[in-house]
Amino acid sequence: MMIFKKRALGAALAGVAIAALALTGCTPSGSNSGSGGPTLAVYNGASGSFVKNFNPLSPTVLSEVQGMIYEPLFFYNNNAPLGTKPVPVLGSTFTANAAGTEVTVTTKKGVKWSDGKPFTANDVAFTMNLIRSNPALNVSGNTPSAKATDDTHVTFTFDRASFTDIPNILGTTYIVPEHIWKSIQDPVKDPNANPVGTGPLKLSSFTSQSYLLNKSKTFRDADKIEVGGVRMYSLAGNEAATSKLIAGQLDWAGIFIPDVKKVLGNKANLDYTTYGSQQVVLNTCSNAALGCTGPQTDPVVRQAMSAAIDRTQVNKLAYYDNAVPISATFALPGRDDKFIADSVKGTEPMTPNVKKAESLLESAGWTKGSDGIYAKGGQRLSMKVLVTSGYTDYIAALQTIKQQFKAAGIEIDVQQVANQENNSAAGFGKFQLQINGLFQGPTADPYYLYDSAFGSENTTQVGTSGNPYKNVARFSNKTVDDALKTASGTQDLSEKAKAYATIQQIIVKDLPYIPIINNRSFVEYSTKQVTGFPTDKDLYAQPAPGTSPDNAQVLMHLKKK
Amino acid sequence: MQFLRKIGFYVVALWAAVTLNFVIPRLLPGSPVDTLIGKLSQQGPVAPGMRKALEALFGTNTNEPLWQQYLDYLNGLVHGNFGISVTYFPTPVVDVIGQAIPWTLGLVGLSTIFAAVLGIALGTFAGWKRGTWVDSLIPATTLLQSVPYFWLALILLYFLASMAGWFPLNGGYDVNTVSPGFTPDFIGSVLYYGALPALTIVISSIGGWLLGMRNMMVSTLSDDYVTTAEAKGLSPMRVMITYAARNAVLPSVTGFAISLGFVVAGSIVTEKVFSYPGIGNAMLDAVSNNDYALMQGLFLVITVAVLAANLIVDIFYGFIDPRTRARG
Amino acid sequence: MSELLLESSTISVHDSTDGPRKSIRRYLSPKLVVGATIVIVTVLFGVIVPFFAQDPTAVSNIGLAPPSAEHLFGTTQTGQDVFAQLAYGTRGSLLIGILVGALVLVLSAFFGIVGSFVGGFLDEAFSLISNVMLIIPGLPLMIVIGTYAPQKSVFLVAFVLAFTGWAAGARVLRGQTLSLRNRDYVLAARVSGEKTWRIICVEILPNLLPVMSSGFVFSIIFAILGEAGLSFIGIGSTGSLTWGTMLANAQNGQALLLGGWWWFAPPGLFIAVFGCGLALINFSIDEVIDPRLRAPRVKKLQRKTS
Repeated sequence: MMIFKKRALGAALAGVAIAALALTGCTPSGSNSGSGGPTLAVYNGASGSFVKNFNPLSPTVLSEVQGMIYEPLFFYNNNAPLGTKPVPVLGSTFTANAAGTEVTVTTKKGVKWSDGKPFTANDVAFTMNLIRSNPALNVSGNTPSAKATDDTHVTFTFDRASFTDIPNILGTTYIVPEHIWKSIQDPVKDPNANPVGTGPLKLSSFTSQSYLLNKSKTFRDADKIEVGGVRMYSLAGNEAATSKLIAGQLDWAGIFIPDVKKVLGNKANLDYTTYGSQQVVLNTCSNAALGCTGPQTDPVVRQAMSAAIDRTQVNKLAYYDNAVPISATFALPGRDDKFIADSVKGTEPMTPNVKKAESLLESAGWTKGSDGIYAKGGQRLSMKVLVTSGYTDYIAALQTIKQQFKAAGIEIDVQQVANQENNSAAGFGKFQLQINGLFQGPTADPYYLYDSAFGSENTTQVGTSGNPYKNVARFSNKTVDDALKTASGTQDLSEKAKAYATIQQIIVKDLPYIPIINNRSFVEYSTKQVTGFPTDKDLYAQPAPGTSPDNAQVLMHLKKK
Repeated sequence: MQFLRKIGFYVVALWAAVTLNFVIPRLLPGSPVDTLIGKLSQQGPVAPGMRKALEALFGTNTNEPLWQQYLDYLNGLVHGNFGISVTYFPTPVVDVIGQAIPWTLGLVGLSTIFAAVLGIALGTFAGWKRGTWVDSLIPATTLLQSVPYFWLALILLYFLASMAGWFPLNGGYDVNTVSPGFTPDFIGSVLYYGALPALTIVISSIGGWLLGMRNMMVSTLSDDYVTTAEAKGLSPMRVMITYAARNAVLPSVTGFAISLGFVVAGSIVTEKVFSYPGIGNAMLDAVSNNDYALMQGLFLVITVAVLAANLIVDIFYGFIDPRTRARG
Repeated sequence: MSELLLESSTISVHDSTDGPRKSIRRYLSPKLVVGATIVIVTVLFGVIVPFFAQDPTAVSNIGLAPPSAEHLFGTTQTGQDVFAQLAYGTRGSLLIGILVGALVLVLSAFFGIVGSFVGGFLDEAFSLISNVMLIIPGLPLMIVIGTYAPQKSVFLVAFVLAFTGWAAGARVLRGQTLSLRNRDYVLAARVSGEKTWRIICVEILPNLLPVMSSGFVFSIIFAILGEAGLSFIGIGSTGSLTWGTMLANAQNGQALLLGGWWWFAPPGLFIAVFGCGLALINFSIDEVIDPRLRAPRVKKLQRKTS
């Protein structure tokens, strides 16, 4: 009855005369219990309208298609320490040769595509070769050639030693059915309107504003799935999503909510998990030899800046006390403990040390001017910092840091620029400082971050276009490069640790990325209908609905309440 | 002859706009590949070869000269081909726009018409009753008009939808219970979901129509022919409607045609506040993703709308105001 | 929606042949007094208060604190003083408003009056330019120019708003001039061989002044609302304080959701009240242009008796 009233009022207020029609549109909203289990309302940052793209090989594929409909061979949990065995998905076991050039995978038996046809190792080989032969699909850049030896065995042959690429290939290549895809003309552009996969869900209905995936009856463990399906929403942004979540209209969402403790703290049935790591840093154009200019090219200045940061205040004002301390090695304390050398253990101090900053600067010949800012040889210790406009946490962090730096005689000039421009500045090295995040790789191996942020292969001379998501600090060090090579060529964890110790000693001193804080992401969920989402204590997968194939792992862990 | 000249003129204007449509997005620095990688990296780690793969995918590393691109672009337009959206790759732009247009036209178009009709009616009344208490309404509507639209909309959304729960929070219809089609259920849902956005548009735009109409009414009422009509003893209602309002409304008609073009642009803000699935939403998406093709398509839709509206007004205006016609 | 404002204001303008020649006193209507008071107080607030207010960008550990003696309007998420931000924001918004108003005035007068008076090819050309400018959606243009500049400053935003906002005014002025140029006294001046620029300046312009000043006032409202809208969708001026950027920051910080009404409400109210003040002034100008709008009660009585 309540709903009737509300609708009639809404229509009347807008002057829409056809109130009767509005009334007839009334059916109980919220979760409709479909076939066996509740349907979850899910938001994953989609804005605008949905457009059909169920092609799991396309980078613009709709959320949840990867993982929920199409599956990879194995699942690597990014939160588990390196060496943890991957969870079998379509594969059951695999072995790699000593050179790291060949991998043999045994696939699961009895798996069916959602059209009822059996899944075999031939599908895996077909998918791998399809990707390899299409540069536009070859996202890893190192997709192996593949050959199925029988229905359950497939062998991958890489072009080079590929230990670090194996998790990527086994964990994020979504296998498509050969019997359908062999007749698809253009696997790059085909929207794959009627997806046939092996995963726990299948497409049920689609409109430009929402789509629904329902439980697939042919899924091998269908009887263990307690969720009926997921309904995906498109919303204009975090504000809209937060309101919807609080109104009880979302069950699973990855939204940034400022002061999430306060917003969700007193809400029954709503909870959140903090996870992941976005290591917030100040990128510095650090290498004068590659063309960087400015005070930040001096490692002492970078050390002084790091010492001057009041990380507690940054955490409070920009991250609502949700962030955690950061290690200057950029390995994650806890997960990567065995990879952090003893001499550089521990995290950056949360309190500022202005004295240390000042004595560092003075030892390098800087003297404080009458304006309270250090100067050397007529050059003031003043730098420009770029930040993408609209990235409110970064902007708040910089406002805070600016004030803290000032107390230590360092001046920064914060410039908000458009995202494209910020990227372009990073790629070409046309910046002095830039606030940014360093992200982890596909598995819990610091190698990926070290390689992309510190490897000299991943940087360019200032003025030459480089990858704005890689070594933008222009860091270049032969010893580090050698250690990276050693680490990538072995599966022996202690050998890796030794190589990483070498790298850490160097980068902690050089500090091309000034560590600020380790920001965490949140995933919010409603426990009204289901329980079992990953928690801070048990991160069996990344909890965000948009991270695949983790999403399928979460789905399989959910229990009806 | 006069008519043909006008048509020719608008063809030229259309060409200029189409050309600007081509030039402006290309002046934007940055590539869609970077933007997409940035977007993907927020979701999780980006594989090392992603950049190369995307470049191959979007063909952004082509070295085609600009004039060749321009010819391709014009040729594409003639054939109704606006290219392929980067954001919604590999979907053609036409499909994306086609999906969005009905929502914008429906919501923003209808509520603009509603606001105009209501505003003109109230303005007629206010002009007729000038000098009475009705005049005090005008400053009140002015205040509503001076309120930033999105601010008002957000506050109404917060109080009427979030707190009171009288209206849905966002979206175009209840995706859980109904599916698109000409069913009473669907139409009812659309009306219910459109009610609050429509209400905010009407509240914030009605003042302009009201004031414009009121002022024209006041001017017209003191014209001789109105006085004559009154002197003849015609009923006040007849004088108000057929003599005064009929003439006073003409500038409002002009204003309406021109405002139709802005309806689409103005919908960006409305649709952002209410997550409404129309053109504005698509536009914001296109802009933030460097989606040249989608942006161009959307530009073109707005352009054609405004040009068509202006053409009609121009022809119309010539008939209305003989002074404008009698020149040269 | 702000364009609608401009449009609807200008269509209300009536031809004026007998300019404002009567004593100022006659025009001191209550509307004008209230409007002028609002505008003057706001301007003074924006000009003077920043000299005394706290540093609007200084962060402190008391984030999102409600109004208190120390922070009259409370603090933002990062502990910045909302009152100080308002003072500086008022300054920023006024700057944009006046800049845009002036630019729009110049552009619309140039394209609207000169072209239509001279007629022929020039009129066609100027009219074409006006039409094209009406067509280009302002928002993407804003982005194009914005990405070229290292920072989207207040000046840049003002420039773009003016650049995309003058065309409607030019259309109105064109229409007015077309009407005026066929008036007897203008024709007489032409026949007597007066120079074109002289006719424009002496015969046409004075008669357009009220229309233009009304356009100026509305451009200010248009600019302030437009800037706020741009900021809201994330492409406003960066690093500078205006009412619009304050609102955008409050919205991004989800001020309403967190109960921080003192952060979200004031900038919007300031815009509304200031805009209302300007609109009231505009009513008065309209009444000067067209004295019939003043709607005297005497006339009403006459109507009853007639």
